Amino acid sequence: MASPLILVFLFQLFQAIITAVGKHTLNEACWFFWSFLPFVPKATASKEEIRVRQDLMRLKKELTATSAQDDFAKWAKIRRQHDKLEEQYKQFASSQTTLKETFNSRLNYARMIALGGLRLYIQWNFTRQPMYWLPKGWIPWYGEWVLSFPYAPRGSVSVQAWQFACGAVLSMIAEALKALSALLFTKGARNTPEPAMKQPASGVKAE
Amino acid sequence: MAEEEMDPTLLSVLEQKTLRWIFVGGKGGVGKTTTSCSLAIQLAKYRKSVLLISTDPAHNLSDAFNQKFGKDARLINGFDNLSAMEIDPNGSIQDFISNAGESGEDAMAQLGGMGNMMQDLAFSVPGIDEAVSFAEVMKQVKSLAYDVVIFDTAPTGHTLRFLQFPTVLEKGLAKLSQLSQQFGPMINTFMGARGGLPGGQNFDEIMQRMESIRETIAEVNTQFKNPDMTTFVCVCISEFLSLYETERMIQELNGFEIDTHAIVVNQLLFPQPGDPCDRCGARWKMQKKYLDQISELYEDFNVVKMPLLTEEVRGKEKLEKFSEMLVKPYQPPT
Repeated sequence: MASPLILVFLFQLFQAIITAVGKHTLNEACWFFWSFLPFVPKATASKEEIRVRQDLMRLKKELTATSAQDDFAKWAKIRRQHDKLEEQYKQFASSQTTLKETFNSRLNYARMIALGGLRLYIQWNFTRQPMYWLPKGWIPWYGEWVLSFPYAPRGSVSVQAWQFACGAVLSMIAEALKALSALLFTKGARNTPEPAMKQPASGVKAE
Repeated sequence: MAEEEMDPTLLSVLEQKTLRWIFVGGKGGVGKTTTSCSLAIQLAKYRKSVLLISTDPAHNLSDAFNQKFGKDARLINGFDNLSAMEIDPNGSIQDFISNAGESGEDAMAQLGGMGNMMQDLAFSVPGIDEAVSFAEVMKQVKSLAYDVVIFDTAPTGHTLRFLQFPTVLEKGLAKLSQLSQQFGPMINTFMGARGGLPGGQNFDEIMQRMESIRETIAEVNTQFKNPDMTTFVCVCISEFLSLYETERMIQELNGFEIDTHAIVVNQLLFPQPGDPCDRCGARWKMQKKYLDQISELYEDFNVVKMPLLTEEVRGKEKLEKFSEMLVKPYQPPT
């Protein structure tokens, strides 16, 4: 009977970690690894992009080196090339961002479906199973009714109640950790400059 | 450049009988109006009927011909196939709004119904007021059945916006008419109980009007992009800024797919033998520098070189004399 208990806890832990890390960071990390894969079109496109960018830089340099007043024809010809390449480069950049956007939205959908599906599966599968039994007479009958809501046998804790409890405790722990780290880091930040502040003062005195 | 050099005249434009729209544009003060008037005079010898339209808010046609022109096409004194008109690209939306209602309705009712709606439309979509007035002008011009129409356009920025309208407006109106087809019946059901919109119109009527504008613009748009029917004559002077603007304009015209293959370089100070003016000499030196750049950069253009005259080119005779040089290259005295 321990396995659904632990499964639900692990599931909640997993979710808590995702919220702690943040969706954006997670997406960025996924994109980073994804772009290394050989079959992703981005890898081949970027080579072309680098070439265009290099050409663009070269033309920019030429453009500044050429005097528009003295060599207008030459300058205008470079300018035409430059504008054409710049257009091309903008297209590259925009296609890159749209690629990333679609990737992100798909990732979000996938995560939503996976997590939601898993949660539904767990709740549905263990809904009539008691997670564990409460000792008789510890809590009044209405407390028992709430804890066994909706379908678990009276006197036990239902999967829903257990999930809720896990989630609440984990989020509390996360808050506590956040507060603690904030406390530690700000303290550390306050501690370190203090000797540094003192040192030049003593140095001045020594001189 | 040793190979075949382009003809330094506008003969190619004059002899291209399929041309229907000719735009003349450039920076302010380079002689656009003079050039377009001269071109119109020359073109009148080749074609049955020519219309010269000024879209510049600062109208100069009246000055050039010493004759008052208005919103309606009027024959120029001394010609029997050359007319001119001046339109204000910003002003005619007012006409459009007040023309929109039934002729029997009084002005207040129109403003309450169609007028209000058109005003909402005019102010909510940027550029639509100018575009609608442009469409009205085009419709009018088309119904007049001129052989060829020359536009004396406003300085550069304005011109390009003017040419951009067809594309912008066509997109917007296509969406609008699609919407009206979907929701039109519904709106008419609501309005039906009261017998149409306050101005005594119904929704379909307005939409039909918009649709007809859209069709005009779509047609004009395809004609403008056809190099057989439309060309753009760039006017500049041999100076850096003017050249810079011209280059920018030519690139943008390429972007709009509008054909351009002629440049008129005005106000050249060809050296005259025994001329004691040393400032003219210095200026000619500078002009020569940019002229060389022009001929290097625009190898495939007809580059027409026009001299600076000692008098203002105004009135029919002087314009005619000046226009000769568009056809026969000016030979500086040696």
